[in-house]
Amino acid sequence: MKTRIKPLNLLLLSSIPFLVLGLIMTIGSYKRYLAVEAAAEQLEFIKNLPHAVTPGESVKMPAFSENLFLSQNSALSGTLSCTYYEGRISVRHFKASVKRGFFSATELEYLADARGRN
Amino acid sequence: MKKYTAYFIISAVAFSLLLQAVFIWFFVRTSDLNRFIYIRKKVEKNARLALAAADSYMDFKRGPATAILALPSCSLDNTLIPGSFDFFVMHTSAGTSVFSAYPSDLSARKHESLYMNNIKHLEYSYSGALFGFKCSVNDTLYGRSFFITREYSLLPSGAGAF
Repeated sequence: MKTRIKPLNLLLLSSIPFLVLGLIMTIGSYKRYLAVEAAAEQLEFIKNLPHAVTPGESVKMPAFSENLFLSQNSALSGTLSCTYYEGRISVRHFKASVKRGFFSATELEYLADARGRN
Repeated sequence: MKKYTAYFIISAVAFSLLLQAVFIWFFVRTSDLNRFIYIRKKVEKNARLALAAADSYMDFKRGPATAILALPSCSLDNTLIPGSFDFFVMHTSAGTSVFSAYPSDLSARKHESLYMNNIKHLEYSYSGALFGFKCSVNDTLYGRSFFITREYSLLPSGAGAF
């Protein structure tokens, strides 16, 4: 004798994966917003102090300034790195990378003129 | 079997309600963050074009709850008008935050005011040309900073000055 799943139960069961997926996407988009704002805030400060980070060095964020997005969200962590852009010593390539989970990260980059304030 | 079916339905409904509650919580947080981002875009648009933070304008005086940015006046063809300034004033009082643009008589900018409620603890700072603001949206503190040191004589053709 076959036992068939009732349509209501089937509907309930099939709705749960979609619910979980929607929740993951909502949380992911919220964290992505926060990561972008955190990275942009860090770059805004460092672009006017291009010599604060040594080329080749990677500094843990928040670096040199307060960052409310990182301090209020322990799930986010970031690093700020600096390299010479295309080998030019007067142009610094800053990259702010904010991790928002095990497998996802947001990266913002900025090219700063090291000869003056940007 | 009916007992197990009932358990299953109750468990599924409870799990679903829990997930929906978490979804609502994150949705509200995202809405609050979007409100801040809207303010941030408004401030950033004027801060990027500003030359300095002014000490006073009309009845407004610079302080923790009031910020005044001086923007160069510009004509319709994006040419800056020397000696003329437009002012962007951000002021908070009694739980209402106001973001107003006061153009000069010569400027092509329009006067506009944006009122936002439930934006608390709006605080401004200006030091070393770094203009920063913090605001609290539903007890969550957000903040951003902008440097205003740029001097320019002509706006780019795509600049949203108006």
